[in-house]
Amino acid sequence: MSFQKKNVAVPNRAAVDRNSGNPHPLRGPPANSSHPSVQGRSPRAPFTGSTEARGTSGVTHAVQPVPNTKPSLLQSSTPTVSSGCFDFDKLVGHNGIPTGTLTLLEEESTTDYASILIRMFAAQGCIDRRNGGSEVAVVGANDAWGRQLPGESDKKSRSRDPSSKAGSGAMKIAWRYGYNSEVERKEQLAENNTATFDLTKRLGGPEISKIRYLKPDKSIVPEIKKLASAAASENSILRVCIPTFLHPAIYDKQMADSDYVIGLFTQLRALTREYKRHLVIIVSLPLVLYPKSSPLTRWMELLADCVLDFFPFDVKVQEREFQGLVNVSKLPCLSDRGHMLVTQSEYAFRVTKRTFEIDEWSIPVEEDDGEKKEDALAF
Amino acid sequence: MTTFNDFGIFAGEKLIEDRTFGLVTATNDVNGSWILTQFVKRLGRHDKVILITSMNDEEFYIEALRRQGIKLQALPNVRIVSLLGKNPENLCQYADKDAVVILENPDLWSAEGSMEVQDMVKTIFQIQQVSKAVMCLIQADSPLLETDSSLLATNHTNLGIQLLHQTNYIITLRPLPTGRAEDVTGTLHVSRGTRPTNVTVDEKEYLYFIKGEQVKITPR
Repeated sequence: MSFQKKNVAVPNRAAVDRNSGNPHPLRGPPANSSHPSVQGRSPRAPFTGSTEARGTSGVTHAVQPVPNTKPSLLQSSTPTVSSGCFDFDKLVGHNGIPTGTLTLLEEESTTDYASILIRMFAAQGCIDRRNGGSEVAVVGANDAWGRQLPGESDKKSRSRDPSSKAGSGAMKIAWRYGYNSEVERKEQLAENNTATFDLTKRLGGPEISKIRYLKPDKSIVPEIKKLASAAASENSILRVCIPTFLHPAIYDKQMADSDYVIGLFTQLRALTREYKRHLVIIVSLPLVLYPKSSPLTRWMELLADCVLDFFPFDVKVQEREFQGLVNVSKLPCLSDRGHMLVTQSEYAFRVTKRTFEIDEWSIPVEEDDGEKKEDALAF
Repeated sequence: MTTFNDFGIFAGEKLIEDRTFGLVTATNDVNGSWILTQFVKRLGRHDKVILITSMNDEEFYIEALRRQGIKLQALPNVRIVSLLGKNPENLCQYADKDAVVILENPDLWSAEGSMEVQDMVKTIFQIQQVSKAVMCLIQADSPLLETDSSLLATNHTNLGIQLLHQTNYIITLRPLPTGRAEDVTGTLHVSRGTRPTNVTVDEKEYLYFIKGEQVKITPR
């Protein structure tokens, strides 16, 4: 679809420092090859390295890189952490979740697929602890939640079916433009940091014993602030998980006041900015209780950096391959700058016994119709 | 980096004359901070500009200007005030008879209950009376305006309408009704405000496209 790619200059491989794993900012992740910002990036970032960029903006951050982070594929000055899910990292566009951001996962229907992602996110944080510099906090949960974190897969490499659509599709596109080896290299890069989870296993053991469980009451903000400031002083990453936010079984009724919720989200947003390099927050929200048409949900979306909606298929309809759709509303660091990134029914997710996958999706039966529709949308 | 042609929308002095009040509306799909950055960049060369934001930190705008090739230090007339996560106390202190005051999302303060709608409207017009000009960005997402009779939507609509009635010009940012496109980010509509004035507003609809650091605006 994006023939404009041909106009992009061939990236200079020499500009890529293999040791630091600093990827060339011109190229986006394969799944996002049609991304508007990827095409038009001016090749400026390599010359203004992260430290210099920070320096000129007059902000005095520790130059020392935070452990367990890697630079974003789209803008090398932004560190990212792995979400624990390979495809999720790819969908977000940066090949990871940028630090200092607030991610909102909204879920239609009574299922709780978003919690699988949040558990993978938390488990990744627990595994990162081995390299030091990684803390995990969960709001409104207890040990039982921690015990359900997925364990690492036995297979060292990512077990992906080679005939899988996204994989081969990305390769095809890469091949067309002669970037095959680059894509491969990037996949390897990504694998360096991302653990491969097996959803049938449990992490358990000492790794989960250090998870902090925060009470779902009005102490959330000061507690997170305390932990985040400790993380900043130790140069580590604090991952905050807020599963099924505002669920009446977990949260008190007065917590659901719209004033309070918007105030809380504003404070969380402020914390992510204050601890830009040390805090990542991920929240899941059941849309059954707070539909997308409600003003409260919209304010939460406005205050979040990344908004993804999960729409599980009706069980009766039973799509063979996928469990539901993933719609993108906002992506971190890009939507803020005015990019319009809304996609409807372009991605779908499947949860297998072992892993959570997100792939491109097209209407299965009448594929031609799907193509036409897409053309019409793109003018 | 200079393919930008704004067809006069950002000439500034055209819209921002003495005592004008302009309203910019945006939605969740098309964030409006880029247009504020453009105004800061263009106005800041000659005028005093104070940008007050409830949504972003200072670094966000420093970075946004840097992406436009300008260091904040090079714009001594520009001041960025972030009140993200803070109480909007004493907003009138930012009023200045030589300054263009740009407010980003004051609607957040009324939504989180830190300021009543009436006080907000009063404050904004107090600032306007003692400043060179005021521009205000608020959200116009449909869930905030029309859906239910919740206090949140009612207050937001109330704020929007009260501000609208004092406008000299309105800039509306919306996504394309057909969804995401490869070469268009959204539509930008400039229209006359509701207040009878001499300010000349060239009413027009544009398509805009944000590509990397560039913004392309073309008349529709």
